[in-house]
Amino acid sequence: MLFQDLFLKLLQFWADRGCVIQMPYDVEKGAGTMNPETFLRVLGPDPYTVAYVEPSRRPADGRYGENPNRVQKHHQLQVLLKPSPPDIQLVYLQSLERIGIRLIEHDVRFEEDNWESPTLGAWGVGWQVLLDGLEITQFTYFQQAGGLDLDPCSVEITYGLERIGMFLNNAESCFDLQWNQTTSYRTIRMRDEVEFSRYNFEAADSALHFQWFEDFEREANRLIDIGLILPAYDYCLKCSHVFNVLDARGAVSVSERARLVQRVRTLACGVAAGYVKTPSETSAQLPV
Amino acid sequence: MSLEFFIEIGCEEIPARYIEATISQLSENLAKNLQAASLAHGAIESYASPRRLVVVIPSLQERQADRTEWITGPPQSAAFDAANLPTAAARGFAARHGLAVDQLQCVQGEKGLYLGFEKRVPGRTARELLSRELPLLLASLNFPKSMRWESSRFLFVRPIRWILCRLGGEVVPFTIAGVSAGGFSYGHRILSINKKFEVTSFESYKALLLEHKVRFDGTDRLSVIENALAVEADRGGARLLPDPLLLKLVVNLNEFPSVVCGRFDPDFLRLPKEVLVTVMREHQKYFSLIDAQGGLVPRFLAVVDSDGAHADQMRAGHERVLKARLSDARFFWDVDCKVKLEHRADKLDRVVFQQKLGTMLEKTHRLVILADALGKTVRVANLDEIKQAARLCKADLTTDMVKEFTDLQGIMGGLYARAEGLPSIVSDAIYEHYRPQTLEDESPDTMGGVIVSIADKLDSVVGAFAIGQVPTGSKDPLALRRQTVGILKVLLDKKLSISLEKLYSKSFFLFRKKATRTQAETWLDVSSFVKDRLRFIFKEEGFRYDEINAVVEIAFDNPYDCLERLRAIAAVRSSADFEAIAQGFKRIKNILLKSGGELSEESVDRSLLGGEEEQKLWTEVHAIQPKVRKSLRVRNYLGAFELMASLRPTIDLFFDKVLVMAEDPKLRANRLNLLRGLLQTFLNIADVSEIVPASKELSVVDASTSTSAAPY
Repeated sequence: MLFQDLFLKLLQFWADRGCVIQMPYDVEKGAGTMNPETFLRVLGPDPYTVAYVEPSRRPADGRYGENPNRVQKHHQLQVLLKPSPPDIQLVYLQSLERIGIRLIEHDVRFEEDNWESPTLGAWGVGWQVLLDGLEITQFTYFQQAGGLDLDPCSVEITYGLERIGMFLNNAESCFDLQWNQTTSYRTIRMRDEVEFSRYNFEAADSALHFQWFEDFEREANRLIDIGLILPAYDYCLKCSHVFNVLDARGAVSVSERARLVQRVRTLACGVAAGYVKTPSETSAQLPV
Repeated sequence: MSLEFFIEIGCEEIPARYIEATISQLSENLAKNLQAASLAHGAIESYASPRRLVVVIPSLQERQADRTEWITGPPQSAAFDAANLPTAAARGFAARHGLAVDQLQCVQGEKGLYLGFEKRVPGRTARELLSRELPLLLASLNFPKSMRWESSRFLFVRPIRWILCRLGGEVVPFTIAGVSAGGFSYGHRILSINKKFEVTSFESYKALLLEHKVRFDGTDRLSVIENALAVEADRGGARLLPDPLLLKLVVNLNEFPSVVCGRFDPDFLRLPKEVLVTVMREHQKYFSLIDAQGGLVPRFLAVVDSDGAHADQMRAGHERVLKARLSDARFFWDVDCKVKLEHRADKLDRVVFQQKLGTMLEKTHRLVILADALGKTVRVANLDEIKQAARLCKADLTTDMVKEFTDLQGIMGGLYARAEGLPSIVSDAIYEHYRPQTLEDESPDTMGGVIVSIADKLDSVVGAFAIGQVPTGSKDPLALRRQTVGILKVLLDKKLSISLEKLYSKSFFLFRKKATRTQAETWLDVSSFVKDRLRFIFKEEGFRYDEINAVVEIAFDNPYDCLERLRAIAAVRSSADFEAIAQGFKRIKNILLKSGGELSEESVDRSLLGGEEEQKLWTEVHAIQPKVRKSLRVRNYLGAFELMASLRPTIDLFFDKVLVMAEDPKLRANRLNLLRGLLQTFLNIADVSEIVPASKELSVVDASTSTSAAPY
C-alpha cells in the first residue's frame, strides 16, 4: 500500500464516521496531541470529533537518515473522539481492516501503556496496540490536560504511519516506502532528515534558543493575561519545540531540564485555564 | 433451594499485572457481601482474562431464611381496661397490623408486660439482593490506577463494555457505568470479532467461550502455554531458558494463547547474553532458548494471541521487529565500546542522582571513600581495584545501551569493563553491585561486589534520610526499603561483622553540606528503619517474633552478630531452665519499672545483704560476670545463655524467700541494685524478658509475672 493511500484511507474512514478532517497545525510540535484540535478541544464540556495527519518533530530522535526505524520527523494520524463511543475498540480494529491489515492473520494485542506529557500537564490511561510485536498505535482515554480534570473524557487514537507502512509493505526501512506511485519516501524526506539532524545536534545556536525560550514564554504569559488564549498557545508550543532542540543539542543540564519542562507546563496550564474560562465563540460542534 | 449464579464483567484489556488482584478482590468482596446478607452458598469460583472477570457460584441460596421479629405494642396496663377488655390503644395496634386482638400476646419485657406479636419477615430473594449489591460491589474495587470514560464518571480499571449475569438462568438486572447486565457474551476480540451470543448457564458458557476462541481460565492458559513452550523448544532441539516472572505475565496478555518459534541472525550472538535476553524479554516478551551448554541459540519463542492457523505470518512479523531491536542493541554496543569507562565517569556530572543530593559524579566520589572505609574494616584484599570499581560503577549510565535498557545498569558496566580489559576484580564488582535487589535475589559473589553494593545502597539511604526523605507507608520513590534490605542481606550472607553506626557516620559526614537535619536526628530515623527491616528479614528466616524482639533492639548495630545471638536464643529457648529464666527476667524488669528505676550503675552494699538467698545471688552474679564477658568477647552466645540458665535455681530461691520491696528504704534500694546488676549482665546479650514461653504464646501474663504479684 502506498504511504499516501494509508493516510487517505484512514482519513476517509474517520470522515465516514463523522469526524471533522482537519489539517496539521502550522507550528512545530512533537505529537498530534499538541495540535490545538486535541489539546484545547479536550477541555471543557463541548463534544468534538476530529482526525488529521500530524508531522511530529522530535529532534532527539534524528539519525541523519541512517537508521531505518528512527527519524526526527515522523507522521502521526491523530483521531480524537469526545465523548468516547462505547464501541471504539471495535471501530479502531475495523479501521485496520480498512487499510488492508487482515486481523485474523496477526497477533494483535492491547498492552498497557499509559501516556503522559509532563510539558502539557496531561495524562491518560490506555494501551499501545501491538501487531506481531510491533507498536502501531497509542490508544488513550484522556483523564487530565493542562492540569484540569476532563469531563467528558475523550479517547485519542494515534496511528504511527511509518510503522504501519513498513508493516504492510514488509519494508525494512521507512525510506524504502513508496509515498505515491512515482515518488519514494526517501525522495521526499531524506534531505530533511539529514539537514535537520545536523541542525539539531550540531548547528543550532544554543544561546539564541535560550533567548527565544525567554521571549516566547514572556509573550505567552502576556497573551494569557489579556485573554488571547489561542495565540498564547502558539507561543507555548514554540517554547516546547525550542526546548526539544536545546535538549537534542545537549545544551540543557539535567537540573535545568526539569525546570524548563516545568515552565512549559505552567504555560500549558495557564492556557488550559484561560480556555475553559472563555465561552466558545461559535456554537458547539455537532456530536457524531 | 439453591441456584447457579455467574457473572462476567466484560472490559477493555485490563493490565496484566492487575488481573489477579482484581479478580480476588471481586470474589472476596462478593463473599463478604453474601455473608452479610445471610445468603448461604457453596464454593465460589473465579476466573479472569484480560477482557473478562468471571465469578461463579454453582449453588447460591435462592432467598434469605425467613426470620421473625417481635413487634411491640402498648403496655398491658394501657391495653386492657378494668373489665379486662381491650382498649382503643390495643384495638388500634391490632388493626394497624391486620390482626385481631386475640392474636396478640402479652410478653414480659424489660420494662414490664407489653402487648405484641411475632412478625414473620420473609427473606429477600438473592435476585433482589444481588441486583442492589452488585453495582456497589463493582464500585468498591480498588486499583492502583483507575480511569473514567463515560458520563456517569464511574471509576474503574478499564472501561466496562458488557455484563453477563444470570441467577438460575435468569438475568439479574442492574446497571453500572452505563452498561446494563444482560444474558450475552462475546468471543475472542479478533478470532471471533464482533460476535455476540446468548449464554444461559455456566456449563454452556464454558463451551461457547471455547468455541469462540476464549480461554477464560488463567490456569488453563498457563498449561497451554507451558506445554506449547516445551514442545516448541524441543522441536528445535533446544531447552527453554526458564523465566517464571515472564511466564506469569504472559498468561494474562491474551485470551487464546499459542506459541510461535522464530529465528534471529546468529551474528547477534556476539552480543553478551544478558543483552540479548533483556531485549527479548523486556520489550517483546519473548522466551529465550539455550543449548545443552547453556549458551543462547539464535531462536526465540513468542506467545501469541491466536490459534495456530497463521503462525507463519506472525512469525515473520515478530522476527522483523526483533531484528530491528537487536540491530539497535548491536549498534549501541559497538558505539558504547568506543568510549572507555574512565572517560564516561567524568561525564557523570551531567547525570542527576537526586535533586537535592547532587550528581552521580559526586555520588561516585562518596562511594570511593565509603568503599575505602568498609574495605579496611573487613580487611579486604585488592582494595585499590575495588575503589576503582566504585569510581566506575555508575559510568554505564551514560551509555546508549543503559539509556535504552535501564534494567541493565551495572550489568552493562561490568560487561563494558570486561570488554575494555579492566581487571576482573573491577568488572565483577561493577557487574554485581546492584545485587541483591530483593530478599530472594543473590548477594554479590565477589568481595568487590559486596563492598560496592553496600556502599552504593548505604549512600542512597543515608543521603535520603539526611534531607528528610523518609519513606512512608505508600511512598518510597527511592526504594530505600529494598536498598536497606539489600545491605542487611549482604552482611548476613557474607557473615560480615561491622558497626552500622560507624559506617553511617562516615556516610553522613560526606553529606554534611547537603543535610537538612543533624547527624543524631538522622540516625534516629535510620536506625529505626534498619531495625524494622532487620526484623522483617529475621521473620522471613523463620525466627519467632519474641526471639527477634529479644535481640534486634539491643544488637542491630552489627547485623551479623545480631543473627548469631538470635540463633543462640532460638537454640536454647525451649529448655526449661531458659524459659524459667526468661520469666524471671520479665519479673525483674517489671519490679524495676514499678520502682521507678532506671538501670543505674549503683553498686551493691554487701553489708546490707541479709539472708543466704541474697548472699548467694550476689556471689553467683559476681562470679559469673567475667565469664559472661569472656563469652561475649568470643561471641559464644550459646555459652552465655547457658551461664544465664545456670542461675535459675538461685534466682528462684531468691524470689521465694526475699521481699525485694522491703520497708527499710536502704534495704530496698540495695536489693533493687542487686537485681539491676543481674539484669544488666545479661541485657548485653539479649533482652530475655521478651521471650514468651510456648505455653503462654500471646496470652495474658500469669500470676508469677504479673506486676501485682506478691511476695517481693
